[in-house]
Amino acid sequence: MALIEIENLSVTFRSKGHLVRAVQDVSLSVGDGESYGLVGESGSGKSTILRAICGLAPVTGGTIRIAGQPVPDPRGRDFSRQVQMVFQDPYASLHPRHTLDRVLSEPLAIHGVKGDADRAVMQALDDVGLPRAFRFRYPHQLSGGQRQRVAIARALMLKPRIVLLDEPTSALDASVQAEVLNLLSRLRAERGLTFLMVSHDLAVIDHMCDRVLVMQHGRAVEELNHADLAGAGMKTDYARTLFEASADRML
Amino acid sequence: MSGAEMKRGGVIAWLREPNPHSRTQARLGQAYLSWLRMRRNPLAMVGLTIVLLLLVMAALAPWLAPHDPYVQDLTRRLLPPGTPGHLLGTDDFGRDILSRIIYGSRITLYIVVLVAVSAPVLGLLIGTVSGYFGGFVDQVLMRITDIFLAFPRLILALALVAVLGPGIENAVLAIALTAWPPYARVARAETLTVRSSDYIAAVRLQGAGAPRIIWGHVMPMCLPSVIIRVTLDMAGVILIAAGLGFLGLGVQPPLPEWGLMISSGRKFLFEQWWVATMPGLAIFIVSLGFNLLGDGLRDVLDPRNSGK
Repeated sequence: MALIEIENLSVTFRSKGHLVRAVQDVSLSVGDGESYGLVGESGSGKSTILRAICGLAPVTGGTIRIAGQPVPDPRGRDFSRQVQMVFQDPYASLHPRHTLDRVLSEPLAIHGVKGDADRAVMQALDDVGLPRAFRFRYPHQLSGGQRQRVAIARALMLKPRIVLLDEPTSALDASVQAEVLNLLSRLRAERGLTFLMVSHDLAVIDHMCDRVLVMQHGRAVEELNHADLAGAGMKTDYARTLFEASADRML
Repeated sequence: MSGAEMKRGGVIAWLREPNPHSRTQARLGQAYLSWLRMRRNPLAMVGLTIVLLLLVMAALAPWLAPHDPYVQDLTRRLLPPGTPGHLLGTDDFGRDILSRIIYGSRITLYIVVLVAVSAPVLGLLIGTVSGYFGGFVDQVLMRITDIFLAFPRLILALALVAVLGPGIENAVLAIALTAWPPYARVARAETLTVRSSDYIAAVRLQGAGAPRIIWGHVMPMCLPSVIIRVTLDMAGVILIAAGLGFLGLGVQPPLPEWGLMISSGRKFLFEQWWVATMPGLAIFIVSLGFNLLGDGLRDVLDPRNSGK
């Protein structure tokens, strides 16, 4: 059974009187333990799908089911124990006035998780490869890559099954990108996580994902699996253009 | 290096530790960095010095004042500044003006502190709640704020004092009730910029409720601008308190409130100018001190500057 099922999802924003259709009739399903990619140019609605799943964007049509259950509205605490998200910009996703300790222990406090919070925070730092000495640092004392590791650690504090990744590496430079992607792959393997990952870079998707949905103008264009990507077996022109733009970095 | 110096060096190294070992150390380290930023601004240091002097003056008033501020001596009335024993002269009842100013700093400080702990708290609460929830809540709270903002502050304070009766507590209440709307506006504007940020989305996604988000995540971001606004407004609060005193609606005689002292010196302004001028200078210096301090704090507390 698919863990994430999205059927005919539409997201429409109302902006200054006229409607903006960010996502139109998109359907996809992600199996347990799978890594699924959403790719497309800016404004194609791929991030909006993630935000709609989390309740940060209004669902105006269609259904979203997690583990067979329609998502509740508001999403609630049970949802947050199942689904967490890593945001695109690590400079904006960490509270500038909270130490890492607070950032990482807050999810436990919200959910009243019993047990040794100190140990859990230390363990979380270890898991994402940050030194324990960083525990009481503020985000501005970290580099971009380190911040993104903190954001990943925070997303994993509640031990979710699903992690939504909104271009987790696009704000980082190339060498750090690879490190963060490897960290994500390792964590997925260790914990059996399910990833739904957004990127505009097919090379990143190729490295991380089993299947990928190509999107354009808020609509699904084509779904590709790993073999299609490797053999350049895409059927639509748009997917091919996108492929050619990043083919030299894939291999 | 002497032992004391070593100890001092140790404390600074502890404060500057890039990898703090506890929450307290991290917080104190940040405070120390802010202090270093503040020290680079000479005007802010002047402001801080004035405010600290005011604090010391109020705390040590009985020891600093050369005379009892209430004892009248009609044989020594309206003596000019520089008279032996009366550095700033005496008023129309023969009371020492310097002593009255020193004791008056207690009243000024009392009013300032009471207003500073009441109005900004109310404003911050209303502003963050309004900005965070938006929609109907925002409409209702902001219209109430508008109503309060539409009244001239002194007039509203006058009306309140007229209803409640003159006195220091009622003056404070009147000032606090008229001072909160700007804080609510500042906090709301700040909340609106923070509300849609990723770190708020992240904590909401973790299942945090509105009170936790507002208290733990939104308010810390609004606090610096509100604190700056408070220090800048302190000058205005002192002036309004003095204004109410001047009109006879605030502090009552014979308390040595500065505005009241100006009011009683008004009758002799042309012949015995010092009676009104000396407390006026005191108000001026303290207001200036709070203004300079507020300007300095703006540079130090602005979250966009942290880390530099």
